[in-house]
Amino acid sequence: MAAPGSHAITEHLHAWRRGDEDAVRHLMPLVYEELRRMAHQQLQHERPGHTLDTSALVHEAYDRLRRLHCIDWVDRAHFLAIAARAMRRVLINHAEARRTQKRGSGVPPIPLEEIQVAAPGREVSFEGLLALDHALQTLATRDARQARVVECRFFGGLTIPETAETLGISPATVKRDWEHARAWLNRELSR
Amino acid sequence: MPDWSLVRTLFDDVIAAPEDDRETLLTQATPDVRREVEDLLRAHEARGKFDALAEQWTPALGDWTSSLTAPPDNLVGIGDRVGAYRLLRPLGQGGMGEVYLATRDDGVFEREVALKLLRAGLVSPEARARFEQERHVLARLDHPGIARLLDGGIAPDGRAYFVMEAVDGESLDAYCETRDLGVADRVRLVTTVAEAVAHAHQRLVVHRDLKPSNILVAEREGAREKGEGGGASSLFPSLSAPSVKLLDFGIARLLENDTSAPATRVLTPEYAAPEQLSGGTISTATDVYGLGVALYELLTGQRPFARDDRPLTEWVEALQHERPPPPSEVASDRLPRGLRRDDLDTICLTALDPDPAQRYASAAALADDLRRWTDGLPIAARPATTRYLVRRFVARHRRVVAGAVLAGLALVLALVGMTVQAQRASAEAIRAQAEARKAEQVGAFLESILAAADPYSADAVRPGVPVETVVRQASRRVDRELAAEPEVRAEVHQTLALAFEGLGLYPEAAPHHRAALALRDSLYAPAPHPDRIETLDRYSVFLRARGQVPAADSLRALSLALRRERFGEGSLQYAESLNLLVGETPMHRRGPHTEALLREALAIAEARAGPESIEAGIGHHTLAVHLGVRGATDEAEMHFRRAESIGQKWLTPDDPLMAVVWQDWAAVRLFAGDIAQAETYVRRARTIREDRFPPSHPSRAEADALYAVVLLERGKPEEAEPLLREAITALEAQAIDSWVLPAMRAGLGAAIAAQGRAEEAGPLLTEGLAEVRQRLTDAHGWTRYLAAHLADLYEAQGREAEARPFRRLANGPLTP
Repeated sequence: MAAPGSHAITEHLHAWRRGDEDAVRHLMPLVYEELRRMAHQQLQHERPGHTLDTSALVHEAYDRLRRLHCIDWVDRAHFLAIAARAMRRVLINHAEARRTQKRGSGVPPIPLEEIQVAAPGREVSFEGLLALDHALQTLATRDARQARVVECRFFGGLTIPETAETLGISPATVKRDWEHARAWLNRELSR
Repeated sequence: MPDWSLVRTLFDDVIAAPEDDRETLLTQATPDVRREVEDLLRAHEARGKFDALAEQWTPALGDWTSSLTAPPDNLVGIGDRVGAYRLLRPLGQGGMGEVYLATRDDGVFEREVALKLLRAGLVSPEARARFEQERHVLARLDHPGIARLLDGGIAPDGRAYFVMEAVDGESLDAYCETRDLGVADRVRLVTTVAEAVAHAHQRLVVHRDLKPSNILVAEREGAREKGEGGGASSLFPSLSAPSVKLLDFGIARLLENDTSAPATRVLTPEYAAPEQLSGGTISTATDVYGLGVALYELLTGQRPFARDDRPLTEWVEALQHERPPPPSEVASDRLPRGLRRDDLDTICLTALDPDPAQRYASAAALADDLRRWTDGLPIAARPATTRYLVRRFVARHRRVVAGAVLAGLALVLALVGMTVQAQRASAEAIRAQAEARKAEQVGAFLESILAAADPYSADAVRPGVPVETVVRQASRRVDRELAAEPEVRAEVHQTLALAFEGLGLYPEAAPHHRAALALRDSLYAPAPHPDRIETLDRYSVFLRARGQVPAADSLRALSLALRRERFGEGSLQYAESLNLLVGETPMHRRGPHTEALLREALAIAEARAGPESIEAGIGHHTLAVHLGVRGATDEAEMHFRRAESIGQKWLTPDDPLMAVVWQDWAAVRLFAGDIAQAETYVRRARTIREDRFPPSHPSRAEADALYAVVLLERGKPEEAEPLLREAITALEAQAIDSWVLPAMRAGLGAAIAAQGRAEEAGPLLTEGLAEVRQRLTDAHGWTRYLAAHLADLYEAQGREAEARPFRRLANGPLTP
C-alpha cells in the first residue's frame, strides 16, 4: 500500500510538528515537484481564459501525496503551509523563466507550454507576481505572520479557517492580518 | 517611518469601528501614524493592484475580494431565511456543519424540517454544478428507513445547505443501551438498517459514513396496538416496532465532489473502512463495513479497532491488514453460546474483512444472513467471492462506455437505470428481501446481454453493430431463459419494451408491453400490487403515444383505482396517477372538472413531496399545458416558469424531461403569437432531442415539426416544408394514429399555401384541420392556429364566405 519513502515523509512531518524547521527543507522538494508537475499539466490542457486554480492544485496535491505516501491526515494543516510556499515558488519560477525568455538572455528557454497560462495580457500578471513576491519579502521583514497569511491565502488558495488551522492562530486574527496586508499590498504595488 | 505596530493597531480599530467613530479614533493618533493609516484606509477601500492580481490568480480570492463590500460575519443564523426556509433553533453541530430545525417560510405550506448548513462553501461553478447533479439523485431515495432529502441549494452566505425530513429519535447505540436490549433485538435492528442501506445501493448510492449517530431509532406510533392485537407477523414481538432512519445518506460523496474544499471531507476514523483511509475505491462494500462496525459495537459495546497508544499512522496502517478480535472474545458474557455464537462471529468478521472483495457482496446479503441467524437457520457463510452485481454492472458499464463500442448503448443502460428507479414506488410494499433478489436476477440477465457489447468478452459483437441488435437478442432469449421466473420475466419484458420505445421502434415494443402486463396480471390481479400498477401506467403511456386512446384510457382508469386503493387519496402516488390520467386525456374528453383535478394533484404533490420537488414540477407542467392550450396564457406562463425552475434544480440541462417542458411551452407561446419566445424554447427542445434520441424518433419528429411551424411564422415556408415532410414520414413509419399527424399535415398545407401553391395546400389544410378539430376540440390552440391559416388561404383565393367560419373559429372565445 505504502510507496517507498513514505516512512521518511511521515518522519519529516512529525519532526516538523515538533518544531524542526529543517524538516521543511526535506519535504519542500517533494511537494514542489508534485505541484510543478500538476500545474504544468493544468497549464497545458486548460482552455485559454481559464484561471489557474491554485486552491484546487494544492488540495489535489495533498490528496495525491497522502494516497501515495500514506501521510497522516492530521498533518494536513502542516502540509498546506508547505504547499502554499511551494506553490509560490512554482509560480514565481514560472514568472521568472517567462521574463528571462522575453528578454532573450543566453539562458535556454523553458518550454513555452509550461508557462503559457492562457489569455493574452496574462504576461502582465506574471510581472505582477514578481512584484508581489518582492513586496511580500518586504512585508515579511515588518510582519512575518502577515506575510505567511498572504502566502497561504494567495498562493495556497486556502480559506480563512484553513489558514488559521495551518498557522495555529484564530480565524479572526487571520481576517485582521489579511485586511491589513491587503491594504498594504494594494498600496505597495501601486508605487 | 511611523511605528508598524501602532499603525497596525489603529488600522484594525478604525476598520472595526462604526463610521461615526472613525474620525475620533484618528484624531487621537500622532500625525505621522494618522497619515499612514489614512493612506492604508484608502488602499483598503479601493480595488487595488493586489486585488486584481488575486482575482486573476486565485478564483476563490476573487470571490472574496468581490464580496468585500458585504457586511462582515454575514453567516446565516437563527431567524434568518435560507431558500424557502426560516431557521428556528439549532439541533446540533457536527464535523460537516450546523443543523437547524427550520420551517418553510414562503407561505406555500408549513412543515418542520432539518436544515443542514455545510461548513465550507462550494467555491467553483463546477463544484456547484456537481453538487446540484448529485442532489437530484439523492432526492429520489425513497424508503421509510432513509430520511428523505427534500431540498438544497446555496445559502445567502455561500454555504451549501440540505433540507431533510426532520427525524425524532435516539441514536442506534443509545437506543439499545437505554432499553438494555438483548442480542436478538439488536441483531434485528441492524437487519432493518441493512435493508434500508440495500435500498440505496440498488439505486447506486453509497452512504460512506455509517455510524450509530447517523442511525436514529424511533418508536413507531400505532405499531403497539397492532402488536397487542396478536399481529403474528410483527418483527419485534418484545418491542413496539421501532423504526430506523438513516441520516445523511450520500452526503459524504456529495461533498467529496468539491475538490476545492476537502476540509469538508467527512471521515470518522474509527468507523471508516480501510479503503477510505488509504484512499482506495469507495463502493457498496464500504457501507457493508460500516454496518459491520455498527453490529460489532452493538454486540460488544466496543468498536472493532479501539484507538490505542500507537501513533495514528501506525494505527491506520494496522487497520489495513488486521482483523478485529471476534465479538465472542471481547464480550463473552453478553453473547449466546455454541454454534449461534460462532455464526455471529463469522457474520461480523465477514462484514469487517479488510479486503472489500471478501466482505458480504451487498448490504442485502448481510441482511439475509442476519435474518437467517435470527430464524435459527444456517448462515450462508460462503466465501465472499461473489461480487455485488450492481457494482459489476456499473464497472462494466463504464468500460463499455469508455470503449465507445456501440453508439447508443448508453441509452439502454439509462433505461435500465430508469426501471430500477421506477421501482421506488413499489419499494415500500414489497419486502426488501424479495425485491433485492428480483433486482439481482434482472441485473444478471441484462448483464449477460450486455456482455455481448463488452469488447473484453469472448462472445463480443463486432464494433458497429447497432444497439437494436443487442436488444433484439435479449428479446428472443427472455422467455426461454427465464421461463421459471415469472416475476423476473415480467420485469425484463418491461425493460425491453422501454428499450424499444427509446429506440423509436414502437411496433417491436408492443408485444413486450403486453407480455409484461399479462404476466403481472396473472401474478397479482386483482390486488393493487405496485408492479402491476407500474406496468399499467407504462403500457397506457405507450398506447396513448400510438394514438390508441380508448385502450390507454381504460388502463389508466384502472391504474388510478388501484392507486387509490393501495396508497390512499391524498397520496403522492394517487396524485401522480391523477396527473397522468388527466394529462393524457384528449381535450374533447376532458370534463369541466379537469382543471380542478390538476390543481388538486399539484396541491398533493406540493404538500407531500415539497413545493420544489420534481413531483410538483410535473404538476405545474401538466396544469400549464392544460391552461395554455385553452388560451389562459398568463397563468400557464407562471406554471411553466415554475416547472422550468424546478426542472433546472433537479435535472441536468440536457434531460429529456426539460425538452418536454420547453416543447409544450413553445407551442403555448406560438398560440399567444409570441414567435420569438416560441423559437427560443423549441430550439432548446430540439437540441436535447437531437442529442438524446435516435434520428426519426417520434419525439424528434414532433420537435422538428414545431420548429417548422415557427419557421413558417418567420416567413420561411420553403424551409418549413421539407422539415414537415420528414416529420410526417417518420411518424407514419411508426403507425402512430394520434392528432399529431393530421396537425402536421395541416401545417404542411399552411407552409405550401404560403408559397402560393393554393391548389396543393387546400386538401391538406381542410382535411388535417377537420381531424384535429374532432380530436382536440374547437377551443384547442392547434385547432385555432390551423383554422387561421385555412381562413387566410380562402381569403387569398377571394372565397370570403368560406373563410368566415374558420376566421371565427380562429378568433373563438378564450375558454369554451
